[in-house]
Amino acid sequence: MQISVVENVLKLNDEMAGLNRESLRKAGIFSLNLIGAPGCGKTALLEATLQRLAGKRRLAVMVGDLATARDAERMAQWCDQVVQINTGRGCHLEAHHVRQAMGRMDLSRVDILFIENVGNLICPVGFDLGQQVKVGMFSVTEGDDKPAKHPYIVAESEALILNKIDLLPYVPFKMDVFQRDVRQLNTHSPLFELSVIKGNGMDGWIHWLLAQQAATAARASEGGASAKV
Amino acid sequence: MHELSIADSLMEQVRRHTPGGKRLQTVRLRIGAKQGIDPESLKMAWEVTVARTALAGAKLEVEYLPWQLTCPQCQRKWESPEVFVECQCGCATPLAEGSGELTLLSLDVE
Repeated sequence: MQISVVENVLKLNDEMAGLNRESLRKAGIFSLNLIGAPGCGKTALLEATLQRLAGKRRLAVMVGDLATARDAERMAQWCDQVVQINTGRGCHLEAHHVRQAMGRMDLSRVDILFIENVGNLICPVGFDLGQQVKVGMFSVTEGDDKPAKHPYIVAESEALILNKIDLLPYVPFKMDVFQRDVRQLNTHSPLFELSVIKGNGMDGWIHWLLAQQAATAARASEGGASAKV
Repeated sequence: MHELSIADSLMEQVRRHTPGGKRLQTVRLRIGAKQGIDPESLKMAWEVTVARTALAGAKLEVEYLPWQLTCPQCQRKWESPEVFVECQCGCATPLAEGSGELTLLSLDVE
């Protein structure tokens, strides 16, 4: 006997992500899910971003890691709402992790929510967290072939970051190859080439974030949403 | 690890749809290229996940939706399981689009 189902395999995760998305939309929060390999500079990027936006926008961070609260401690100096999510064995964040972390935050005091996923270029891509945008992050030390080897994150990202461009003179990295492969998979999303440590290219990233946040806040106020969830 | 957590979700979902007293034989899935799932790894993860459960021995069948490639030079459209392949005309940069589908289609039970 055949039983027809036709149902998304990650249905439970997607339903939970839908709840998260609705809460964030009502609160007028711009949220992003930052995905990249271990060591590409996700935490450093967030630290530098928080430092630049502290006092200008109300910021909150969720940090996913297999273990330890080191990343949260690093960021707490710039932002009073930092929640560490330890996934234990899990190689990616799922929507219920974000739901629980949201319960430990005051969303009425947030303009931008940064969700730093577990360092991994593959597994986090398929799991919707309810974020507004996915941001895929690479660094020049990983090599110019990473978009070709990890096409899913490139195709799915609303913005892409290439970090550590200050190290270009020291590593074999062909920028034209990297850019060409990215554009084969994703013709429209902005690509920010920057160095978190040296600061070059950071302005473009910050401007983009602020523009996204302003557009989100404007949509929320048009919808007559209250600041509370 | 990716395939293991998907096999885990799939097992829960299949359990909900399998009527009591019936034995599960086959599970049919459709997977789009953009999911980044290797069907063979998923089958292996499924075997491991259902081993020593009431679903042990159930087969997983995968319908794979490949990448849709379009050549920007000669406008040819074709399908490929690989995303970075050259067009017949020699163009090395075809544009790729893929389905993000991951759907449980049907079950066979006995």
